[in-house]
Amino acid sequence: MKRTGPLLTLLAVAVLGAALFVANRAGDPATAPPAPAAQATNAEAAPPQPPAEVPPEVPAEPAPAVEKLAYAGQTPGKELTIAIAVEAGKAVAYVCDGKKIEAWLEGEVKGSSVELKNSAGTSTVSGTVDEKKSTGTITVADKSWSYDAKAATPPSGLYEGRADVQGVANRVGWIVLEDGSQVGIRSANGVAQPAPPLNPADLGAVRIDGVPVTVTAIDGGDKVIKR
Amino acid sequence: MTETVRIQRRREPSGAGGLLLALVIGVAVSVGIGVYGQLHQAAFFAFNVAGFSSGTSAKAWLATIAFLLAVVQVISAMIMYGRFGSWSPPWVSGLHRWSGRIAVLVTVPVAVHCLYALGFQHGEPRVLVHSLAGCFFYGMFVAKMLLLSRKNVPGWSLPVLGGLVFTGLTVLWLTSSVWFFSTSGLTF
Repeated sequence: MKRTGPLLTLLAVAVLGAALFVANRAGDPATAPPAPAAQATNAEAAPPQPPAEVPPEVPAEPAPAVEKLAYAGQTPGKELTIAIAVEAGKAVAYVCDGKKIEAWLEGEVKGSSVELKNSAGTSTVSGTVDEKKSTGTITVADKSWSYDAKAATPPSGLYEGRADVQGVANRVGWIVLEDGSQVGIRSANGVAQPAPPLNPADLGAVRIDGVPVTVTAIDGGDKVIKR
Repeated sequence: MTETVRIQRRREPSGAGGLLLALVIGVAVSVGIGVYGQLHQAAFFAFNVAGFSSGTSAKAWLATIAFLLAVVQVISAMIMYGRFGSWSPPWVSGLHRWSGRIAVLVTVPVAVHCLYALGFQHGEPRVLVHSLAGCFFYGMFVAKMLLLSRKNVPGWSLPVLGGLVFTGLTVLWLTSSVWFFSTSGLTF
């Protein structure tokens, strides 16, 4: 009895670890096949003995077609401008018209498809990504547009600025297109207005009412929706 | 990890094949966890535990429970080894066994989340130390369990391995829960 007790303890740890791994995998939006798998997992998880050394099982995860890249582009009628940044299966995007409409979105890349939405779920971007371009559909406030965005090399890409101006939090989004033109919106107190100009070569130079704006270039791994 | 290897070499002459085997397997587990954590694509996703404000605070509290139980481990072991004089009630060994089991089981969800959602990281010292300690802890735990199931192992080996397991857990707890509570406050 004394000799098997510790082995049973090891086994219990192994089984619990394996079960949690399988449960995580089944529930992971990135890897999840449809949900029913989660039910069966506990029964299935019991037999395997060495838990922690389960090999990485790379194939189970649909590897993102693009590891890290940014895209910038527009809708055909230039109604909206969009920038998407992807990194390690994560994606962020910013959509704006340079005047009043804007949306920050987050999502995921699975294989060659990318799906993003804003925090309220009212704006979505759904498309495909490869090494050269991203195309798909933007939906903002019940209206949809197709978009065509090309792979963006810096300074082209997505930028975010933040500043507290007289106690009011300002947030700015800029999209710098491949041709150097830029579109952006500054929002504060729920009011949107055109963004101040951004010099991508000098991110620290932006001012709103004399207050310096902290500007960062946004990558796919960044968070753009407040949680 | 180098530490264990050194111990292994120095103590080998005592003829403890069982100890050597346990340590080899333990080290293999440590390395295996580390390699998995490094190779696995961090998912940044995991279940949240009901009743906690975030997955991170759930982890911090689970680890704290494990640490408190580990303190019980050390004290009960000291009693069993007669460090508190002749006072050694019969239930102490049961207490030691079960507090240890619960402690390590409590760490499992935490470790799985770390490994699955975050992986082995070395971006900053705290994170590197934590990642190394995590691999070390489970390796030493496996070694100690294997050692317990064998007879005729050197008398000093169990306390030493137990001490290493406790040290590993303490480092894990300091670099995670204590860090979390000191930066985010005592949040549930």
